[in-house]
Amino acid sequence: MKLIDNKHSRMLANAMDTYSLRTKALASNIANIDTPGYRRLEVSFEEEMSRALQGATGKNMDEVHGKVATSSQKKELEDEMMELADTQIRTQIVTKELRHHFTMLRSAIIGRPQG
Amino acid sequence: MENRLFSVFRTSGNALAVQRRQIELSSENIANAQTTRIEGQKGPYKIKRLVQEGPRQVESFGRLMERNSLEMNTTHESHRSSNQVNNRGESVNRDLSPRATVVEQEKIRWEYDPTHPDSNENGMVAYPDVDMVEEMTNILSANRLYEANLTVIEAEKQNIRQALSI
Repeated sequence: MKLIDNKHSRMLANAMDTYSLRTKALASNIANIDTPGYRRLEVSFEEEMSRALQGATGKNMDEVHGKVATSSQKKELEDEMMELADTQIRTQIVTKELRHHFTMLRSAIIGRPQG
Repeated sequence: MENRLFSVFRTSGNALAVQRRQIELSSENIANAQTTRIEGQKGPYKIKRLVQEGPRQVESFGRLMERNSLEMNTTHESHRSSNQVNNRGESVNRDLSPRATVVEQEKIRWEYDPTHPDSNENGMVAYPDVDMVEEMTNILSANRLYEANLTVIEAEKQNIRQALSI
């Protein structure tokens, strides 16, 4: 059994990759908010993740990755800012979870909880 | 800054520069609303407009970004995200920031003032046709966009700080 690089941590790492990619896409969308002809970038992840959770895709949850696509849909600056805030919270959740994962490993190695 | 970690900073940083340039140009236009002559140039002051251009290679850039977002030179295969389709070290433009160029507009507003030294034979003086309302709203919107980009930079900083504490 893999302890450090297991499915759980790989899934969290994928999520972190996705959110950092999404931050990048949002930075580009906000920087180009009044650039004529610009097509906004979107990163999809959650939908495929929930389908993988239901077992509909035949993929494991740690095999789901974020995907970038351009969209011709026009969005307001407020929407982008909301999504940025949302992405930031998600990043925090995932990093906290990953930290928790390693803390648990550490306490298993040491044999007593970390102070 | 080619480092992927800082590409958000580059994108937003360049956008900050563009918005600042917009404010500079608007203030220049307002300051020169009554300028009737410029040395070495015919006619009154020319209104300056900022024209924004999107990032280069707009068509394929979602894919480009996907391909380059998580580029590492040497790493264990399983540490690579599938975002990274290949790793051939192709030289591509990774800049997602807008670029701006300044365009001069010759819009003239005529005013009757025969005593003015720059008046023509009909006693008309050419002034640049600066639209004050437009310039003021340009400044305001550039100001807000500047703030929005600052928020993005702040968010990315916090993300990096969080990631360092794993």
